[in-house]
Order: sequence, then C-alpha cells, then structure tokens
Amino acid sequence: METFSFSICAFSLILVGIFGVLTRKDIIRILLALNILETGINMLVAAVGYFKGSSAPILTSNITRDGFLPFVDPLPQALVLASIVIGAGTTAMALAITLKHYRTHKTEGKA
Amino acid sequence: MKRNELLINIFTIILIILIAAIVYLALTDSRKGLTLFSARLEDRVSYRYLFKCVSETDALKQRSVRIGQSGYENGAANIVTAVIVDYRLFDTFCEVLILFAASAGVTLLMEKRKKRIKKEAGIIVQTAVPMIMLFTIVVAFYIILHGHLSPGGGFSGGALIASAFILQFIAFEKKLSKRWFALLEPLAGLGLLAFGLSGLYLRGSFFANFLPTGSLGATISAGGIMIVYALIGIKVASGLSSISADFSG
Amino acid sequence: MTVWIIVLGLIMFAGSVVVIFQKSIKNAVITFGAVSLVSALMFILMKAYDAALAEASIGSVLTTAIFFWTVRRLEENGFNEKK
Repeated sequence: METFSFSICAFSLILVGIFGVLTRKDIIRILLALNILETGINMLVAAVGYFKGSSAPILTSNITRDGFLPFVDPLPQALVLASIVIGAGTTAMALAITLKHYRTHKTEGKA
Repeated sequence: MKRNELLINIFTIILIILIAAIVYLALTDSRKGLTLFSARLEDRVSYRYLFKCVSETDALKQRSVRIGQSGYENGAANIVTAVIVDYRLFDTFCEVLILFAASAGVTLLMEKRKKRIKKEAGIIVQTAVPMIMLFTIVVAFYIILHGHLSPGGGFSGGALIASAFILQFIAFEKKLSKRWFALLEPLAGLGLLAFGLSGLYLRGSFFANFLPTGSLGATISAGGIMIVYALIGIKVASGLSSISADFSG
Repeated sequence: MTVWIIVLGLIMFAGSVVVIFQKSIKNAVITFGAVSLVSALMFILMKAYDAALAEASIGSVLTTAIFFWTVRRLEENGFNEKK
C-alpha cells in the first residue's frame, strides 16, 4: 500500500512536469518544469526499492540468511544519488546556453 | 495565436489523461510477470550486495554477515556506499566525468557581467556568513569521511561545501579566486584514474579494491573506499563551486 | 504512515502546479525550492537517507541559487518579465 501511494505521488509530479514542458512559452519556466519531472522520476525509482516495514540499508547488527532480512533495496538508492548530482550539472549547462542565446538574439524582453 | 494556444492546451490535457490511464492500468495489473512492486528482495541482485559475496564462484555460500568480523569482500557498513564506490565504481567514475564536462561547458559559455547592479548585503549577513560557513564545512568533512559507516558520502558532503561557498558568493562582492577550483578538479579526477590503474596493476581488474578491508564497522576500514570518497568529494565540491562562481559574477 | 505520504504528496502536487502557473518567475523559483525540500522529506520516508541528504543540499540550495543568478543576469541585459 505504501509503495502504491509513493508511486502515485511520483507519477502526479511526472504528469505536471510533462504538462509544463509542453505548454509553457519561456525557457526558464520550461527548465523548472523539467526539474520537477526529474524529481518525480527520482522518487519513482526510489519507490521501486521500498518494502513495507524494513529499515535503511546500513548494517548495525548481524544478518543471517534464514531469518527475515529487514532492509530496503540499496541499488535504486545508489542510482538516484548519482542522478541528482547529474541533474544539477545538466541544469547549469542548460541555463548557460539560455543566457548565451538571449545575449545573441534579443527576443523583445522575453526569455 | 490565441486559438492556437487553446488547442495546444487541450491536446496536452488529453495526452496526459491517456498517459495517466495507461500508468494506472500498468500499476494495478495483477497478472503474473509484472512484479515491479511485489517482488521480494531475495529475487533481486541486491541480495548478493547485502551478503557481500558477488564475485565468488559458488555464489551465496556465506551464511551470515556480522559486525566486527573481517574478511568480507568490502568492509563498508553502509551498503549504498558499497554499491556506489566499490561494486559500481566505473559507473560513478563516468558520472563524475559528466560533472566535469558540465562545469567546463559553463566556464566556456559564461562571460563577465558588464552592466552590474551593485547590491551589497547588509552588515548582519556579512557578519554571520563566515561563522555559518565554518560550521557547514566542518559538518561536510564529517559527512565525507564517515561515508562508509553512516548516511552521506562524497556527493552530499561535496554539495554541502559548495553551498557554503554559495553563501560567500551571495554575501560579499569580492569573490574567491576561481583558479583553485579549476586546479583541484582535474587533480581529483587524475587521482581517481590513478587508483583505477593501480588496481589494474595489482589485482588485474580496473578499480579493484586492493587495500585490506579491515573489520566491519571500524572507523578505518573498507580499504580504498575512504580515499575514493574523499577524491569524489573534492571533485564534486570544486566542480559545483566553479559552476556557481561562474554564474555569480 | 500512508496519511503522511498522502499529505506530503498533496503539498508537492500543489507546489508544482503553482510553479507552472505562477506569473512572476522569482516566486516560481522559490516555490520550486520548497518542492525540492518536501521531496527530501519524502526520501526520508522511503528510508533513502543518502538520497535525502543529496537532494536537500543540491536541489533546494544549489539549483535555486543558479536559477536566481540567471534571472539577475537576464534582468541586467534588458529582460523584463512584465512584458
């Protein structure tokens, strides 16, 4: 049930981001919508690895094979952690290209 | 023009409703084979990461993992760190290269501001910012160096150092010199490459963990994970600080 | 647990709608920083503590600051959002 609600929240963010990318006019607003879409996708990938009633993947006591394994999946969290840093870099690059574009073709006070 | 805009809105709303319907049908499908949200951890690859026996030939021979014992494949107590820095280090290396490409591109495209609106921050901000910077950088070093025991690591700590420098760029008109960031970032990348090549020379595979792993849960353990995470922290911090220095002035 | 998830998800949905339909760009950027902070709380609920730390320091500090600096540079070059 928790996984389902997590994924519903993530998909609502993704849909709002797609709507913003398709309908807005100025580049700054499109980049904001793209960042919202990226946040939603990160949340969806992290929600795939969630199991109900489990704890964070940090070893604090011994774990055995036969007993219950009380951990969430560590692999999607690693992918999300890499993706967040990459998102900041690509956003900065896109904003730099926006500034360059605005400086070369002045588009009547709009960006 | 106005009518065109209305058409675009209506078409987008129809498209989004279609996507939402498809996604809802896919999420609530209960046939066999679609086990995206109902899989167990035993069926996934991460089960091997938890028991620290990925590269053994007779897989999953190990019965249990215990704090304080030694002799595992890698000695990191935080399994996300083990995945990022040991098992999938090649992935992380290429990702750090992408960050380097982004900061180099921003440096290439940016110019100095000509018509600048002069606005200095007030005296309260200028007095408070150095103290906050000091505490932030201390916490960031703690987060970087304890990446194998507690949550955090090179990426989070590097971003914290970069946010401390962002505070400095906001408060003061006289900026730090960008030369140090431009010098530190390639040096950290070359250090990562040297670590990978020494692993290739000593153990026969690129980015092999050639230092002794130590006992699980100790402060100095887990072989090269501390070194690699410190290098990644320096690289992320200098890259993001260079980007924000370029944007601010 | 489910109640908290639904409340945080509604806050994030409302914030992202505000980001897209807001008139002023600076208000939209600030609202985007708030959405990023709430998503860091969501990562904590998912037990993904590393991702929460990274999102709280990158998404809500660095991205917001970069957007603000871009808007300032645009205004210095003759950009006016009232037009």
